[in-house]
Amino acid sequence: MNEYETIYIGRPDLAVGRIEKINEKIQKILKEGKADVIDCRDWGTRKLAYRIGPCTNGRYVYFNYTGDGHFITELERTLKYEEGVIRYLTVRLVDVDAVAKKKKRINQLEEGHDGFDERGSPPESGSASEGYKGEDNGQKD
Amino acid sequence: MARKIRKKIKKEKRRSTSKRKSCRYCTDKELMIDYKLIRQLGSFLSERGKIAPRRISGNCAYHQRRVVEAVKRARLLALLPYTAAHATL
Repeated sequence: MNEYETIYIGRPDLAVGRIEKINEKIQKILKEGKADVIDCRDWGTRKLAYRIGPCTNGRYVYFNYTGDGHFITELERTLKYEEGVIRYLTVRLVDVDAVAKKKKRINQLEEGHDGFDERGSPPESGSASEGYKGEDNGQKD
Repeated sequence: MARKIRKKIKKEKRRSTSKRKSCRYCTDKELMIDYKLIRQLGSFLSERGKIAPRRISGNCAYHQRRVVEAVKRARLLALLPYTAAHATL
């Protein structure tokens, strides 16, 4: 499970309701891919930093969602063939679970033990070492 | 003799370089690098739109890599210019 962001730039001269239709298409793909949409924002029309074709302005739309990324190829293909879209970018954000695990590991190392008891077995299997218990207590505090 | 003195003065001048900047992302842990934060990334660009090297930006190697990545993403989305010549005025 990863967190993703997709931003696309729509043409500023699109007919009313066209952007909403594109958004609906995207929402549908995300729904079919079982993604959880965290945020969907219309940034409005902004000036582009450089001219893209004839456009000097663009309408930015931002999506933030989580899921396993199998539907992203489909999403990007849709945006690629959509005439109203000038540019799009999908970015995978930092894996939240991985960060939490890494932080826990660092805390364990800082406290002078590596999460394994004296016999070398991990804390989950068998009786947990005293140090590991202490670390748990410390987290609750 | 005079040459020796001149050399000595040159060496001393070379030594007296300004203090190296510290990485702003290392000092302030809450500061985020994101391609959407254009104003923050804009401070690493020259007037022509070039990315400042580490010796000028003062970033550490890790954060410079992140900054470069973010600037390139922002350029793709036309949030930042590739070069000042293409900028829409």
